[in-house]
Amino acid sequence: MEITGFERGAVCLLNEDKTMSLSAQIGLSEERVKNMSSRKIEVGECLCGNSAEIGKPLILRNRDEILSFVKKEMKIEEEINFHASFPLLSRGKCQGVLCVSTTKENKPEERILNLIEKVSPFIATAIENAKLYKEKLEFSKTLERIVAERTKELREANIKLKELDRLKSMFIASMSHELRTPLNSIIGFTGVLLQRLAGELNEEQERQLKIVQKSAKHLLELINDIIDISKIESGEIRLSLEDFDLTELVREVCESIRLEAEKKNLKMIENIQEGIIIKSDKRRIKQILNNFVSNAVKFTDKGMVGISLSKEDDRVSISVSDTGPGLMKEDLEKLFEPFNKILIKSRPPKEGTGLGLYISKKIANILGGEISVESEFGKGSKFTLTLPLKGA
Amino acid sequence: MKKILLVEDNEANIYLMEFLLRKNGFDVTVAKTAKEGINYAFSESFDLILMDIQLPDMDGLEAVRKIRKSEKGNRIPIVAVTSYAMTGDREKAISAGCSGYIEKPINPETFVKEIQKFIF
Repeated sequence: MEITGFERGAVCLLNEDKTMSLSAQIGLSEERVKNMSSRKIEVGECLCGNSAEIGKPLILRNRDEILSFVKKEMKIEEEINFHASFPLLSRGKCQGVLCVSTTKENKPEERILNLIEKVSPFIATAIENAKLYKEKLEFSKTLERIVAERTKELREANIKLKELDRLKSMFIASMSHELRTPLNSIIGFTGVLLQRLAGELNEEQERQLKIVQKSAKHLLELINDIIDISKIESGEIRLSLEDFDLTELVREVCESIRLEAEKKNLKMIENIQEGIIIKSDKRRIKQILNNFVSNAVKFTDKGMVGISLSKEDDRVSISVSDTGPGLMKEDLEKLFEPFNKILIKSRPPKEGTGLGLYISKKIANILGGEISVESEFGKGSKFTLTLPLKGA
Repeated sequence: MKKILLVEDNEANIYLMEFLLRKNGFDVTVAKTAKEGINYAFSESFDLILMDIQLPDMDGLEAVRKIRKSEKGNRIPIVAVTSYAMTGDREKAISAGCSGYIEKPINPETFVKEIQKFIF
């Protein structure tokens, strides 16, 4: 202001709603500043509003010009003899107005006015930048607030989910228990009857009882699988690790399926290494191997089922191969998904829950091992369980 | 004739196990509560106790601990009839002093063979 020689000057910013706010001033009366800064100023309320509206400088060089321009509703400061307002245009958009005025009689130099006009776009750019910066700050604050809110919501949702998960596991555990109790009677007494412990049976009775037995066992298998899955998924599965003779266990599994294999005229080829002692969960390994051999016998109609056990360094491999229908490439990855039997197209669906391999793979991982599969469509499949020799 | 104490509250289960055991030549005594079972264990001699885990008056494993504390029940084989559904039931059964466990539902084809392993 010193350079320009004006004793009054102000910068008003144009708001989005076409009102103006006093942003900076010098030389205005206290009363006027108070009045202007406490509220939004309507465009047209003062002289400078005009240049904001038309986007061009407004220069009123003497009292008469001022008075002729002033409308009734305008409040102008008394005794002004010169008024100049310059729109602050940045990229064609009016950011506000810079106005200067004086009560002095001597006229300001033309070059000063030119200078102000020339610098006004720079001021406008600076204002716009400041606005953008402020917006950016506000935006990042808003973002921070949103992130904090979302984090809180997520945390709460997570707690709820955990609680739901716990309830789900509890529900499944007690539901399964309740479902198994009546099965105890169904499986138990059909077994008693089929063993002729309660007397002779005719052919029809035997056939019907066998259907009851088979269905009940299938139901039991499903319930057991669901319990296993809920245990695996809730991380509740408990391993009981012990040293045991894996060779013996593999032989036991072979024996358990031999009768089934013979019924289907399948040859059983065993290639089992002697005396392998392993530290692992015997019951769980048996569960996986039972799944392998029962699948092999179930899906193979002619040829053979092969079981091999071998040790290499600190790992053991147990493979079960068959000359069954094999699997197409696209079915291989679906094999380990729950309820896989509805997903797999390469072979006709057989009895079973479709959960066995899913559970086996999970358990194998928990035991520190893995399950792999090789298969050629039309030729057969080979499932291999690899386990560490010493514990999970 | 080998004597078996069957501690079990479910009527259908009692009928089933008792039937299977008698058919296979065992002498069966039934107790429907844990207290009754403990009393039998202290007053009579058995070759085996089959203990259900969920009993109306007391946890079956608590009953096993009580029996194990006595001189008489110290060496008798006790087989828990556990439910597969509950995580850790088997481990709990063994640490309570059971000699073994059989899962419910029992397999009527193998049940007798399984318990025979525990009888001296």
